Amino acid sequence: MTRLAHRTLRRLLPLKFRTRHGQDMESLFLEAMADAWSRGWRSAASLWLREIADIADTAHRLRRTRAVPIPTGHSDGRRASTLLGLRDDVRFAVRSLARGWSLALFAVITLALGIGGATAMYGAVESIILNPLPYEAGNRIVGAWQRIGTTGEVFVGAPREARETWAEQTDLFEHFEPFTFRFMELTGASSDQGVSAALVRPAFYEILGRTPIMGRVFDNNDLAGDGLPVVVLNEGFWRTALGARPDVLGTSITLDGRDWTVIGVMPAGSHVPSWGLRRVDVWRPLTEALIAEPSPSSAVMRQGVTTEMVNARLANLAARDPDPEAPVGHVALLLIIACVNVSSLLVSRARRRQRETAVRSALGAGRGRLVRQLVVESSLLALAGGMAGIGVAHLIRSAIGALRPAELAVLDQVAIGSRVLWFALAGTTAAALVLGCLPAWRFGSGNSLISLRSGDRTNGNATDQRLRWLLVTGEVALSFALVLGSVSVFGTLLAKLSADPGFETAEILYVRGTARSWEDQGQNERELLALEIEANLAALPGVAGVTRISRMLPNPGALWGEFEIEGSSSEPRNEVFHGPSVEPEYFDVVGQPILNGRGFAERDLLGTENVVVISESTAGSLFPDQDAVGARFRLDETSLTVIGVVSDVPMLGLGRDAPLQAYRPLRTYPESATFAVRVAPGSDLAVTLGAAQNALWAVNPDLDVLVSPAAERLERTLGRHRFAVALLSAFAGLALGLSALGLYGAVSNLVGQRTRELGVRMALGARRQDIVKLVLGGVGYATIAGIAAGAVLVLTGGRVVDANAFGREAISSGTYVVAALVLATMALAGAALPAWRAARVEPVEAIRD
Amino acid sequence: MAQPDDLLPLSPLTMAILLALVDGPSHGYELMQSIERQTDGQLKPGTGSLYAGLQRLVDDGLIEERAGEPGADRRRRHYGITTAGQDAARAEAARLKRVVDVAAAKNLAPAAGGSSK
Repeated sequence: MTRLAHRTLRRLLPLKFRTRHGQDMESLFLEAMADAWSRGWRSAASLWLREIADIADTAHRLRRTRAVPIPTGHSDGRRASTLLGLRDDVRFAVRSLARGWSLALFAVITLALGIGGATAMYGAVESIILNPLPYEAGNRIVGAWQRIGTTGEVFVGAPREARETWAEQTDLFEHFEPFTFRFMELTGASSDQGVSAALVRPAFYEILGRTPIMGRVFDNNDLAGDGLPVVVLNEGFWRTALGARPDVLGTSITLDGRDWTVIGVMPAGSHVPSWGLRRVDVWRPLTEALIAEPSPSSAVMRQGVTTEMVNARLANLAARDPDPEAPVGHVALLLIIACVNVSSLLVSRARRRQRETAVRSALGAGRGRLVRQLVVESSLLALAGGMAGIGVAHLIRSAIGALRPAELAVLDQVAIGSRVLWFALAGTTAAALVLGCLPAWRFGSGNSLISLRSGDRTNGNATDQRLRWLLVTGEVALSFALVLGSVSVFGTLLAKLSADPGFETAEILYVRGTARSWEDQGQNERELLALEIEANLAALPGVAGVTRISRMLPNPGALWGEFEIEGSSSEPRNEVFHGPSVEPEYFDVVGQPILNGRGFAERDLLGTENVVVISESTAGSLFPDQDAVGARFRLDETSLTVIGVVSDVPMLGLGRDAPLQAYRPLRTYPESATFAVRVAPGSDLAVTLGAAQNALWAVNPDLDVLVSPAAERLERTLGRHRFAVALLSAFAGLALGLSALGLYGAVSNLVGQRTRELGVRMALGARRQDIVKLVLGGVGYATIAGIAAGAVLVLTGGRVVDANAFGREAISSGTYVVAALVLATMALAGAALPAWRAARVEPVEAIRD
Repeated sequence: MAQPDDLLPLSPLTMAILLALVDGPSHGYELMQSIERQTDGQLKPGTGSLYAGLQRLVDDGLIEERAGEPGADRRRRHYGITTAGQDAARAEAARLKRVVDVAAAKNLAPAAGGSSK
């Protein structure tokens, strides 16, 4: 690489000199380079820069001496003159850039968007996907779940015995620690808020490899659970919710109506690494009582152990990496598009200055000198673009900060100025330099007289035209790959976003009341309270219906066990069903259609027969060949009869695959009294929401009340997907914008050069529409060629980028068509204005100019 | 061939190359390193200037191509100083000495070596 670059650079020197000393110069430079590298990349870069300047300068001097012999040649002030020359060059470059300021601005904007966009996006991608676990054990951390069921993969917390067996595999794991999550309500001075609590044991912090910034983490006494309840805060929560009180240790906060003593503060960004990037506000000890419950675990695999090895050893264990979902490949494409754009700009710019170059060359400026001029100009552009790019990166970063879902709080720590910034700067600068110099080769190579004679009357020589068309085609190809990727990911995400929630979410409010001493009350007291609340809610104006449910959606709880269809010969297997337990009027109240059979009736509440209502997709997958209604299946020891089939509901949140779904009749009175309230058409949801809250307090002023609209709750589960769509849109938009600009620039340049030719054609009788056809036709061919090249690019390179850029779904042929249409439209739009302008050419003017 | 005095003053790079070669023939990379050392890093010629300088010195007869020392890397060209080169370096040194003397008389020279007041 270095060798090739140096050889290319040496082409500036006169042939004779090059032949004689070229080999020596090369081996000298390679040695010096090896030396410089050993001192670091900065030395190497500075050596390169000096070498470029030196060779350009030498080339200049050698040619000058040949043309105008200078008596003694050894000028004492050589260094000074180099510097002077450089200063002149810079001044000249600034002046000439200012003269063509629109083009310069265009180039700077293009570079800024490319560099800034790529940097900010890559930063985000890096922190979510590439390096989501800022812990010592890093990518050896996995989550360990129990795999249940065969329909869709369902992962649930594993029972204690299973966890203990897994933890014994010490040849696989360094650490194996269970954890669980609880949502809690903080009652505080300012306002009530939801708090995400992670429950862990002290050893869990060894997985994180982090220590508290204040106070301490739990010890074994805290786990016994007989002392006062203690809690460790996360720094973010300590700052936002508690105003970063320095004296917070030893004070208490009220969570779910209980007082918890704060014993420590963990550094910002500490989270449970195996649970995506879910936010943790507080840490609670996973006490002996709680540890008996099934729970997921975080594990650190030993050096060299892979998730495949773990999964192969423990069949019912699912070790999973945090799931990535973002466009890494897009970053590179965006940069390349920006570079191609700028290059095409610079090429056309150099073309336009052919005459000036020829004049300077005829006046004795050597090729080295001319090249140096171009290098200086390109560098200035790259520098300006780079600086503006840093600004753009910061803008995009704050936009991401505003858009990101709460659970992706890690994004706030994305640093601009990471490796990628350097990469982006270096990439664009290199491209700008190389392509900036390219034209000088031809213009400086002794055809100055020809250039002068024909001047700007040529229609651009053939090589030039070819190069330009090649750039247009290349640009179309890259854009096509990008659009293709975006459309495919968009398609997947939009399908998830627009999924039918299965019931009338917009009119449903969830209301939950929890008595502080609720656990201590018996079923009778709970029943009384629930009836009273239900009556109060039903009496509210604007309420069309009230029904009690076991838990709010999403994540309404699950049933699982050994599953077997009665009367079938299939092997029993583990399955899990998600769904709430509901009262008979539930499906009516929430507007969820019963597709087959019946809903629950009062008699089902008696429990004489175990009945279940399942969803449409569940019926399809469990009973593909028979009528689901009336079918019976066994779940562990319980035999269940299907009495009805209802529409599918995204039980685990929008954007997630629908799991098996089953509804059971609600017969008990759980800790919290939870209701689905249907708001009458025309009533204000917000007003009803406030009224519902008061209705609960009217029953018991000590109740912890949570009221939230169903649509909003489900919507919230989309956070990550929405964010991914936003990120992708920004990306695709940026890239498309850049491509459109580039296409427009390239096409209008091509047309501009052909003004004279077009004038002649018109003088010879070509009509306007012929001209338009001619121009658009050219663009059309380039577009088709580009799309074909892009398709080949994706098909061959698709494998590589597949996992990163294009989501996991295969790209459908429909997607290709859509992407091709988008591209074609864009190319036509880019060509329309130049074509229109070409058609308005006055033949006489064109020929005279 | 030019007389030594015709070539004066020598450029700093030319002088540095001559001085570096007084110790014996040398090739490009060694030369570059000795030049950097001699001048305390003030002169760091790129390959272009170095070989342009060498070419000119060869043209002027001040240095010549030599076979390297036995066992030395045969693939690269080694350069050695000629008698004319030594004369030229001596003449340049004398010229510089005169410059330094004049400067010393005006109290501008460094106090090193006790040659000035």
